[in-house]
Amino acid sequence: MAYKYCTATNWGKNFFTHEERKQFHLSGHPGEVWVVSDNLYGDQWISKVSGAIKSKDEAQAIVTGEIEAAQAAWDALSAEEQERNPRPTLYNLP
Amino acid sequence: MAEYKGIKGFQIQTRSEDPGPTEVQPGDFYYNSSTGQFKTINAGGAPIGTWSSGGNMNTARSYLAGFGSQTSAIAASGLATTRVTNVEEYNGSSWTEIADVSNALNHRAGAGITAPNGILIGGGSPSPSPRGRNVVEVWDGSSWTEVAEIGAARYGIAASGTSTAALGSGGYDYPGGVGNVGLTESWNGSAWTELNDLNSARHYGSQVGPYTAALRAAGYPSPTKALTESWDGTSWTEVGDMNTGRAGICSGSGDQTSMIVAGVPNATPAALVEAWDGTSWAEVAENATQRQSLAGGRVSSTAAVIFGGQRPGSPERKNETEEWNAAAFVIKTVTTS
Repeated sequence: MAYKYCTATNWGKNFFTHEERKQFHLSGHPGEVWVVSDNLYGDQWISKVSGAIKSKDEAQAIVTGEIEAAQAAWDALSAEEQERNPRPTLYNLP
Repeated sequence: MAEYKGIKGFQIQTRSEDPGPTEVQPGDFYYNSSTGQFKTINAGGAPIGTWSSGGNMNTARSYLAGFGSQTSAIAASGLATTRVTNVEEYNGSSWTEIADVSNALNHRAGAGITAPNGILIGGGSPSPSPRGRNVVEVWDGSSWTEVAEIGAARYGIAASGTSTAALGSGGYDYPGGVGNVGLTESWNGSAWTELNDLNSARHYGSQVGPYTAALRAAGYPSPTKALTESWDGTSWTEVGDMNTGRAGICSGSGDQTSMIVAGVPNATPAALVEAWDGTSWAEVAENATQRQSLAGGRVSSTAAVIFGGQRPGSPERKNETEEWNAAAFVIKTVTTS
C-alpha cells in the first residue's frame, strides 16, 4: 500500500471520523506525524486538517527525533521508574 | 416462472427504505423498492467497528483513572507534569473541568457506568516506596467523598462495577509494600470485603463487568500479559488468552461476554485493539494513535471511549480522545456476480 506523510495537529472531535477511518489507512506518530493512504480520500483528509505534506524521509526524521528525545528523558528516570516503563524504541514508518 | 412465495412459502419483505437499528436482526432479507435492490442484514459488532477522534481533554495526562460511557465519562487524577487532582467530564464531544479529587495520585482504578456515579480505588504517590495508597474516593455527580479504605495499600488495581457495588483485583506496591498481588476486594457501598485471589497475581490490565460477573484482561509482569480471567461472584477462572500481551495499563469496555481492549503492549508501534466475544479474542481495527497508561469508559464494547495516556516510555502525555463504534448489523446489497 502506498502512503503519504504529513504533520497536523489533532484538534479533537471530528479530526478524523468513523467514515474516514473506513476509507483510508490513518495512523498517528510522534511529532504529530500522520501516515495516510495515498488515495483520494486520504488527500481529502490531509486537506481537511491542513496537513503539511512531508516526504517519508522527512516524516521519519521527525519521528526519530521525537523518540530519541523520549529515550533521553527515559534514561534520566530513576531505576524504579525505568523498571515500570519500557525504554522507547526507534521504529520505521510504513 | 415460479414465484418465490411458491418455492419458499412466504414472500420477501419489501421496504421503501433501509431499516433502522431496532427493525431488523442479522439474517433478515428484504427488497428495497426505492433502489431496486435485494439486501441482507449481516452480523455486526466489533469486527466492523472503527475509531474516530473525540474532544481533547483540557489536561494531558497518563496513568489516569476513567469510568463512564462514551457520552458520559470521567477522567480523574493521574500524571501530567506532576500528579494532579484535576477531574474532567466528557459529554460525547467536549471535556469540562469539574470538582477535583482530594488526592493527587496516579495508577488509580476507576469504576462506574455513568459520569454521575463512580469510584476511584487505591493509587500511587511519589517516591520513595512504598508508594501504594489505600484511599478510596466516591463521586456522586457533584462532589468527591473519601470512604472506607481498601484492605491493602497498592496501585495498578483493575476495577469494575459501580460506586455502590465494585470489584477491584490485583495491584502492586514494592519494595516495602504488598508486592505484586492477586488480591480481590468487593465494595458494597459501605465496606470492603476480601474475596478469592486472581489465579495469577498481577497489576495493570483492565477489568469490566459488575462485581458478580467480571472479566479481567492483561497485566504485568511477564508471563501474565495476555492472561484473561473470568469472575463468577466467588472465584476467578482462567479463560482464553489475548493474542498480544499488554504489560501496561490498557482500557477495557464492555462486559463478561463482550469486551474491547485498547492500549498497546510495549514492543510494538502499532495501536493494537482486541475484542472478546465471550470465548476468544480477535484483533479489530486499530485506534489512530499508539498509547499506553490510558483510561476510558467501561460500559460497552460497541460504543467505547479512550482518553489520555502516553506513548510507551515517552514523557509526552496525551490529551486525545478516541471513540469506538461498532454497529449491531451491516446492510449488504445482494449481487449476482
